Amino acid sequence: MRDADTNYEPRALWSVQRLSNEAGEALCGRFEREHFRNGGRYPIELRHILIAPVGYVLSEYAGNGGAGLGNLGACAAIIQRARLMISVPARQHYALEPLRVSSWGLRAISPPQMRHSADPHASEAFGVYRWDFPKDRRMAMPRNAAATFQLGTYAIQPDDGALGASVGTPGVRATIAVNEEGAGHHGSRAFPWNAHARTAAFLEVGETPDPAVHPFQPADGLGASVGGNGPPEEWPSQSQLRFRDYKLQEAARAGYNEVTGFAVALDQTALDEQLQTLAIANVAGSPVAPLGHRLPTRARADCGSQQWWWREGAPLSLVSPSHGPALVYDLPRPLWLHPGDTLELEMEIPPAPGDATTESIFQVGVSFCGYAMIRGV
Amino acid sequence: MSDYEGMIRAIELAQRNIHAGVIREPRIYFDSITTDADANDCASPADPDVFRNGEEYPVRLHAMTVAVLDPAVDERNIQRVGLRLSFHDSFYMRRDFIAVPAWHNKPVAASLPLSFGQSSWRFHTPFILSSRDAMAVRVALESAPANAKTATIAFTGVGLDSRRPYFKASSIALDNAAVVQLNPEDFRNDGDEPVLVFEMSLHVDGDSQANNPAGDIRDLLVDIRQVGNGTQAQWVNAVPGALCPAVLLGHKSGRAVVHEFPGEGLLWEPGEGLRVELAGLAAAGRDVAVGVALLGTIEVL
Repeated sequence: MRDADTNYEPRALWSVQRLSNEAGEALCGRFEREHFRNGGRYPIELRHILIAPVGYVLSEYAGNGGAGLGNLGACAAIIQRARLMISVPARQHYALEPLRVSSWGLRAISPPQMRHSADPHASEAFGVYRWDFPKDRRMAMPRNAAATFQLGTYAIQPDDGALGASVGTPGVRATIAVNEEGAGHHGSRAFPWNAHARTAAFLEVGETPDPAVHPFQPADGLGASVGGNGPPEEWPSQSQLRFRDYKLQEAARAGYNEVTGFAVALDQTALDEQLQTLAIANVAGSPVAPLGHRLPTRARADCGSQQWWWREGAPLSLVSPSHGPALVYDLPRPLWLHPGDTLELEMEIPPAPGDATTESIFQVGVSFCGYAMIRGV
Repeated sequence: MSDYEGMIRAIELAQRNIHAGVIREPRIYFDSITTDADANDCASPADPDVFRNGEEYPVRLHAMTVAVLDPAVDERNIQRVGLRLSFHDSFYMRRDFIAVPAWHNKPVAASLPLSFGQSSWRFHTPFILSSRDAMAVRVALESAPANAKTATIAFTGVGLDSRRPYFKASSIALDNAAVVQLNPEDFRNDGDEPVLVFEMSLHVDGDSQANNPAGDIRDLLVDIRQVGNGTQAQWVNAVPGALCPAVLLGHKSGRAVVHEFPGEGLLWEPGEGLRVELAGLAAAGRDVAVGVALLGTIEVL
């Protein structure tokens, strides 16, 4: 039951790490500690761990092995062997043994698999990403308050004019919806639920990132694939559910409403088709990766803490624990991070027996999703 | 069971019946809506009474499923279709058309071996298959196949007294588009205890002569009725003569977009209905046949 003095806001602590090795050696990486610090004023209860390959354009590469292009499938396969060590510095480890990702009872949230006989390059059937807040962790939104959900830009290749323009249009259409319950405390006779939505948000193709600014580009051979820890440079107005949009869509609200979650539907069918024209051998016919793995996001409300719910630029897949392409693990007991606390996260991927890896670089994103407990605001 | 125990049980049943309703039975309200070719227009069912409670008792709707119906059409086109519902002049989720995938709030993806050819529906409220009752299940294919395809319908339940599992299934080879009825004896409760049926599964194979046995659940159409006790009514409410596409019964697992109504669902009193409207948000979403189904339970008092 909700405490009358307590409100909740979603929070996600995320980071992306590039793992590299020499053939036959283990892949190791330590995630940036500051990315997992609770820099706010309120304690955060972390309930889920999400893991996903970040930044890849293709799901699989139809070309031959050896010097083949990097792809999400190869990275995902590697993640199966990953072991995580989670620690609170100078205090304790989450577990004495590294957590093996392959041994987790993962939550089933994936979309239906595509039948690739007719459209071998198709990415997803639905393209939906969701975070549904449990009943005891919903965010109370008072009268006149609003939320914003913003999608960044994506990139394909260096902007040499050959393809950038054609890939950008018509490109990707997004629907952003923030769901809420009740019009006031009583709801309506017909539907006691509602949604604030931006229904035709067209994503822009972003500038080719400068490697000096965006150092985390996976070796997928397709150039500018944004999705690392560098700050996104653009938050186009056309791909946002803005505060103004939210307030203009008021239902007959008499008091506060409870925000029950959000959903983003990415229609990248046109992008899948346009990638088939890339002048790179065997890209045509290769399944395309979901764009949510490399689409920056940010969101916040203008009430409560007014903080961004996560560090700006989180890939959409890493903030979608209810439905999406990431691996989601529900912590058997939540982790609490009080203001100033941080987590240390190390990932090790041992080599397979007789390993002859064709990939020497993988890019993996990890996020901890949960809720900040807001009091007194 | 002794006379005393029987009397106690009858009393308990009567008490439950008074408060909770005598009969609860699944209901499906379905229609196929072709989105308008005009970018500035929307489409709604030709028959406004399809999405209406035409029975004498209240129906509680628990979920809505939406899918592109034509097996020859790319199922990704559902991303280009917008949807809204209206009920007593209130819109849900809002007045604008929201892309159908954004309604999807229940993961239903099955594992690869069955992902394409199966739907399963876990009833929100199980129904009772009494002793000597049977199920009359009619099936058909969307179009005549080149070679026969096998359809399988199954019901899963537990005995009300013994608590042991019951599994009733029937298969039939379909080589044309005619409606056929599965053998009711395969679904008959020959025991002396009622069976609480809580789940239904539907499956269709691929072309029997093809190397790839994976079927497309959009090929299969179905209608169901309980024979014996129950309401005796067809579960599927649609335009006359229409069967419900099996893909729209993929509430637990399948390939449809599934939207579970929050809370206790939506209550339809007798005569109430709602309006379903679809719009093509982009060219690929226009002039596309989209199936919409509302899944619920009728409560006969």
